[in-house]
Amino acid sequence: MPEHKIIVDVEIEAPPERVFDAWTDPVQLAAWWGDDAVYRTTDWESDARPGGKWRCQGTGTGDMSGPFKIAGEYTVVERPHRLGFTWSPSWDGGVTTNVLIELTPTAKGTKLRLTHTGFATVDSQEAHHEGWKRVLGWLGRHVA
Amino acid sequence: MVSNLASEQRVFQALADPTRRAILVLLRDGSRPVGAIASEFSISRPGISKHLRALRDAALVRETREGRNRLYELNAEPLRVADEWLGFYRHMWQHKLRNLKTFLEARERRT
Repeated sequence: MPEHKIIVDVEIEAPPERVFDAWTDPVQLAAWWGDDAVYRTTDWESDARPGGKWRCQGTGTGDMSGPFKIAGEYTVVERPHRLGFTWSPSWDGGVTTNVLIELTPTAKGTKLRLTHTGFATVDSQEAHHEGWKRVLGWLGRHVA
Repeated sequence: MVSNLASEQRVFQALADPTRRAILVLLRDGSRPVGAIASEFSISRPGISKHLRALRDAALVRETREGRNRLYELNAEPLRVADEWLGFYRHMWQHKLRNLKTFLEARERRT
């Protein structure tokens, strides 16, 4: 069964430890997660150990009008290489997906790969049917 | 975006269940009455009705009437919404990671 996933890569000119800490320190999270043009996040809580919880609140402007809440649980905490957590935003009606951050040191700093998985999937054999192909085309356009 | 996400969520929730996906595949070959759909599955008729309601709420199927029969037909259009939903997350993460990069690189330069 193919899984629906989103993969986003970014190169950051800072060592992996700094990048890792920016994802787990509530003060830093509030500073970079969101911006005035879209929304701001507040009330960060982060218990960065496997099974520990994290949460925040957000208030948006424009399209992302809030308030909203995002919460989850840390699943992988391996400083400074891997950080995994579940993702349950208030707007998704209780559906939980998974996010994994992988940090690889480079000459200039860190290569960060974010993988977001756990979205609805479609059986592969169904893909062979003509009508379903079109549907899969829509669903699959974002599979990296 | 947030208001759209409610309907997008219904689509994803509907698709998350294997029986409901199987119903959609079945209806791809043409509309069918509830009884004909139920006969393809080992679960109870009320169970099938519940799945059909979830699919109807997500607008993935439509109910039509033919005489005394209620027929269900496939409506694949909302799946486009599901695709846009993934696009929303992709966009969101790209935006967030750009913020993270800006934040950390500004700090690095200061230290």
